[in-house]
Amino acid sequence: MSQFLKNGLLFALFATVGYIALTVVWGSVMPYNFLRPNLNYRMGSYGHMFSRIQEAEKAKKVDVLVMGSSHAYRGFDPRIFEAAGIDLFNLGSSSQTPLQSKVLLEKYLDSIGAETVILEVYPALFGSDGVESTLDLIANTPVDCSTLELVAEVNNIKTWNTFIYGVVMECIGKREGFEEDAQKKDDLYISNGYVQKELSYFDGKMKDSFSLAEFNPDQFHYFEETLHLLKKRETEVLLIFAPITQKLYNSFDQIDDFEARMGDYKVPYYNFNERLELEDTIHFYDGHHLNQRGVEIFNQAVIELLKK
Amino acid sequence: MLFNSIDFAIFLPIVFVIYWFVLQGRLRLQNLLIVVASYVFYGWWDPRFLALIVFSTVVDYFIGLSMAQSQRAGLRKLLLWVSLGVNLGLLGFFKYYNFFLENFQAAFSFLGYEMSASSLQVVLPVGISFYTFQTLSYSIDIYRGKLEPRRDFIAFSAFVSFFPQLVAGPIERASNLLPQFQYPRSFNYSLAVDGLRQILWGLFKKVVIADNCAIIANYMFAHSAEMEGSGLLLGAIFFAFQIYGDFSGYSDIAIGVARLFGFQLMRNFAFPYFSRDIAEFWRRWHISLSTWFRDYLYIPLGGSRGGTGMKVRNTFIIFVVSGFWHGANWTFIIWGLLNALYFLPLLLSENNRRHIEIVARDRKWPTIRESALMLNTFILTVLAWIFFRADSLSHALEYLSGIFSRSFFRWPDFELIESMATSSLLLVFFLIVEWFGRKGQYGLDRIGSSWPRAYRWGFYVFVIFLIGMYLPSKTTPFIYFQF
Repeated sequence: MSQFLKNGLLFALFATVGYIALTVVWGSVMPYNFLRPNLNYRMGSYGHMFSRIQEAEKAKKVDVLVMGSSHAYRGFDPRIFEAAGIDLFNLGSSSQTPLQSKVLLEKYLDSIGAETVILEVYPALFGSDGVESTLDLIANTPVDCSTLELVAEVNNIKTWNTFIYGVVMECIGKREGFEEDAQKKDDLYISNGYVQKELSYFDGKMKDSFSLAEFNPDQFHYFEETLHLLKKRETEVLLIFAPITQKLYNSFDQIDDFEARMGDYKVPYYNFNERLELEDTIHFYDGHHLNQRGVEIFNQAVIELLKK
Repeated sequence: MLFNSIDFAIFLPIVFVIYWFVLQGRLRLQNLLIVVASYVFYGWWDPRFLALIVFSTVVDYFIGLSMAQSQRAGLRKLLLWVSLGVNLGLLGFFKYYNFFLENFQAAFSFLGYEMSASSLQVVLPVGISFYTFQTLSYSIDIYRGKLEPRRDFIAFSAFVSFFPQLVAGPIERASNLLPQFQYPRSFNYSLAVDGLRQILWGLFKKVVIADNCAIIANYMFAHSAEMEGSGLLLGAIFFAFQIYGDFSGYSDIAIGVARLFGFQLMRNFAFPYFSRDIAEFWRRWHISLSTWFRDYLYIPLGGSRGGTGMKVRNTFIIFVVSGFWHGANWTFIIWGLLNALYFLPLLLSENNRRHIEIVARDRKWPTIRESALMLNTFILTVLAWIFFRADSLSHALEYLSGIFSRSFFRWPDFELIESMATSSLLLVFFLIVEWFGRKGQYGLDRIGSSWPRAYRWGFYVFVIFLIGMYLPSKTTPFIYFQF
């Protein structure tokens, strides 16, 4: 039995080292997204998270910090807020769920020091497992203990493999030499976390709809923890359901349930799908996201709200 | 509890440590631990199912004792019928009630009578077909005088509920497994290491091969109406590997786990896709079920002792019953019938025992003839699997007619090309390992046995790495749990 235990431990050690080595080799040799389904490390990926985090690390104090998904980083334009005398930083990331919002806030709230935090809330992300957003953060934020915590919370083989690869990339200094282009196809990165899409219009064809089967209770738990954290710091909080196309909005049949849950938190909650009258084919560039014309209208309405 | 779940990854080491470190040398307590662990393992799905297994255990325990004590042949027969009635009754109710009801209704309706009876929402208890057959073998063997009944209720309960093979086999014979609960067990290093190796290979087969092939197979069967014939054939081939990886993977894990606790279970798969004819295939596929039917149905029916007519009749009965055992659906019955038809020419020409040893036993590679025979057998099984996998008979026929259409000569156009490329490369690796490991009990059994330890371990780490890299995000239940 002692031989079994001794060899078992030795093999575990050997396997750990071997697994890490193979992950690094596999990730370096295999082309992105082919033959490595459970290793998805892409620095400077879609959404400009790398540039946003670099700015966040050096950011001065701002008035408003926005957290949320692509609806946030493509929906809150800091230039419009600046013109109204409001300093805003956008810390949204692709498919950011309440879990990632919480981790990012814990990491950057002190340095950004916003008086008001806008939490962009999107029902589908309360049903998400958070894998996609975690992969984005591993590749585009400095890997540290909070990243490990996040990976452990999500606990998915994809995030673990990507984390292992990310740690090694961090150790060999691959992040330091990387520079992300501000312009990527028709996306332009604007200082303070915004991504502006070249003006285009929604053609009415939906790639997806709200096919949410059920909410994930864990995400509500993280959301409550975030609210608790902000309350403890006496930060003002606004919950905003940013505009999406009516076509998408109407396909979601759990909206009443979601509204009721948001109402329970006793924090100001605004559903801009009900407050604004926007046209799918004029104010959006796809089923989810406002184009710059829509952003102008939406942001003016938010400014009005903030000034009140 | 699924073998490929985090729950089981925590459960197994806990039971292992208590079993060997706390209870070593205390046989009754070790057996009791197995019973408790097995009930936890089984109750993880639904604690209500435990009532059935406890009921089945108690009934067969007392029937076994009463049969052995009775000198009257009539009473012994009656007791056997009670055991058969209880076990098959439970199986029949939970598995076949709705099937028979629907078919009676359809038959009456065809004759012009409307029969009003509503089907029940019966939840099929996991693994009922497996443990029912295992306890039946106990009662039948005692009736035949081949086995002495066990007085130790804990040992008997452990035999019925032994968690590694409880829900999907191998279906053990009482004469093999039960005595292993009676004698003290001491830790055997080689057996445990071999068990871990077999678990590793089983896990690879399940989560890498079966679950990745399932993506393609599920897509093809779901979109069969709009798919080219070539794509449909690919879907059926991927299903063939899915079901093999899934079921033999489960068996490998079950046998490996049992070895960790000092038990030897019977072999359930012996590289069936390297078979040169369908008779060999059936000696290598789901061996514990095939031999169960041979011992408890085929031989009592007369086996091969009678004339050609009786042999043919018995063969058809075995295959049809085997198909029906898999599920209450006509697709399984046709699958069984089709295999009987494949078997028939071999039986009539008395060539059904031509290939006993594994192919190319003393050579590295097969001859061209052997390769052609293996390919032929594989294609036959793939065509039969279509009935097994299809939702209904009409779906299976539509699928088959799609394959045998002109569109067979067009390149399949579907969105999973990348997944298919990945799965195909994984299959190549899998088949290479299985081929070079075919003389062992399972793929990894002998691979690297003569290599230096670092190389051998390096190979195992590579297999672990492939599991980590190709494990699907969501765990998928084993196909055979539904049976």
